Amino acid sequence: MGTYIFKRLISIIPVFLLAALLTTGMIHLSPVDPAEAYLAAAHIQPTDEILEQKRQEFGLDQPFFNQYINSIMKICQLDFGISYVSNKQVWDEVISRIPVTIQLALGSILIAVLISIPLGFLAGVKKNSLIDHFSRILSFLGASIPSFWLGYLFIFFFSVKLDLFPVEGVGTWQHLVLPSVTLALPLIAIYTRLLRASVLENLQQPYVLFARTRGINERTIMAKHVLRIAISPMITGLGMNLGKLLTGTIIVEAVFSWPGFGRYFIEAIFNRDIPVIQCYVLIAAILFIVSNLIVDLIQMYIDPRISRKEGHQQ
Amino acid sequence: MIMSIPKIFRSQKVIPICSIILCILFIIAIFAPWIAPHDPIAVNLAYKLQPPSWAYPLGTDHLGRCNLSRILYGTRLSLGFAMLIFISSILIGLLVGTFSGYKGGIVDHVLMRFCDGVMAFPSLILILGLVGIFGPGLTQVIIALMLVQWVYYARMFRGMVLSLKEQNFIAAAKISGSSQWKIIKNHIVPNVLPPLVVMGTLEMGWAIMDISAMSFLGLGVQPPTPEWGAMIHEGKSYIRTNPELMLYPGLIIMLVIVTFNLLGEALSEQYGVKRRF
Repeated sequence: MGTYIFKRLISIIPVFLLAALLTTGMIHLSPVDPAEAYLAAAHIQPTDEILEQKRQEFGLDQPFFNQYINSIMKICQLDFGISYVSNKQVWDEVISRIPVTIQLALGSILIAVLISIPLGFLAGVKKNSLIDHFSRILSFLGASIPSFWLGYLFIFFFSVKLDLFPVEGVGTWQHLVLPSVTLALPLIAIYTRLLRASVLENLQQPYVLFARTRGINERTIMAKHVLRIAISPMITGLGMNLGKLLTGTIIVEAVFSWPGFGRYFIEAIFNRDIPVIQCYVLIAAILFIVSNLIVDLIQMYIDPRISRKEGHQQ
Repeated sequence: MIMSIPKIFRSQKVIPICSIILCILFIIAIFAPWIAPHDPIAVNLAYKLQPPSWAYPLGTDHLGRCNLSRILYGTRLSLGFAMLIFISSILIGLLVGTFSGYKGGIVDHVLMRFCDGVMAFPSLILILGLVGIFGPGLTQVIIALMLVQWVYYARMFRGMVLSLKEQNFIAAAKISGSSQWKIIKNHIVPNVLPPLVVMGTLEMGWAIMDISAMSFLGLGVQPPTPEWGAMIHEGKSYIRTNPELMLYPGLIIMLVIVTFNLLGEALSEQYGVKRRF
């Protein structure tokens, strides 16, 4: 297991190098000169002299390979450059905005897990019952409703009509409810569906029959055997969908005026604040790889058969 | 009532019903200028925020533009560009995928690792990153969507080439003297078509969702062009007084996506194609 974790950690490096290459190359693909973008964002009248000076400052006059190496070195020191708009370190700006985004993401994961585990499990165990139909309709709608519209529906019904929750902003737990539910619905749709399918598949397995012939009561079989194994694909789904969660926060933060990382990114796109855009894409890539790794480890812990399988393959 | 809904979902009627809805939507898209009662971008401040009437069946927005006309014209934009993305990404995917499958070796390896990298990454972040470089605008969003989507088709076509290369019936057809054209028409197309149709149907729904999401964020379609996501964006300021401004476009987006998803699912069940999550 130790070597497996080590190998997985090593495999992060090439992906990181590729992501850094893409973000460094981004500037050269862009039709906009970073020096001009900087001056425009800082409201400075561009002259040839200042432009040249800025290009030197950004290292744009050096060969591409040098720029690439430089940017990797800087990223390793968490130096993502200086925001064109605020003139502050991008990393400091990002760090100050990440906690509220994490709050939102954790809130929605919690809601999604709390709803989809019982729902998906019961739907699988009691196939074609009322709860099964309900879960199918819910997972269908969850995959089809655009989240930005759903957010406004919630605002309209729960904030404007019923006045239960605040319309926007952060602070109390009431602020967290509507955005988290909005963000959670597509996740609930996917997880419920995954768990239902997995439970149905596991009920066909011989171990269930064996447990029944041994006279173990149905409740124990379901809770201790079926659920424990059936939940595994759902955990994979959780890891795979962290990316979806990240893009989801962009939209939900825009709807609920949530002052997080996603909204900062959208503002950066409008302001052509290139260091911030680069930083977001890089962090998204790293987060994505790391979360997949963590999910694999959790899965190995829950279902030890996986690590043995991996061992055989290598 | 709730019991009967899943029965409709499962029955054989899903495919014809969804196809009819899509046909109607495509007819609306093509004939929007003739069907729409008003010019979708004509500003008429004297008639702003009107309730539904005979002249304006769904009322007017904050600039006095006809809501119904804007939604009808929006169909044109969303479906049209989703089709464009669909066709162009299939073409790129077909070229790269078959090339990669036939060549094999190092070329295949490099191309497929690249595809894996793109697929591993959440697509909306790639699209946002690309729009971030090239700046906001509909053209940029469309190009970004194409650049992300073709990868899936390339993988699919490559897999098909590889499995078809090995199939005995192709060799048998060659031996029995079938022409190249006849092999493609009678043996390859029928094998390739079902997964392509299923994937295409689901991807159309996603493309429409992505276009409207980007327009909602203000990065895609720019005003005054009528587009559903942009309409929700404009209507959100009137959520207290005129919630219908953001209600109608959202409903139509949902209808379109539900139709594409239902159809895709029914088709994949019919043809036994595995879908990806």
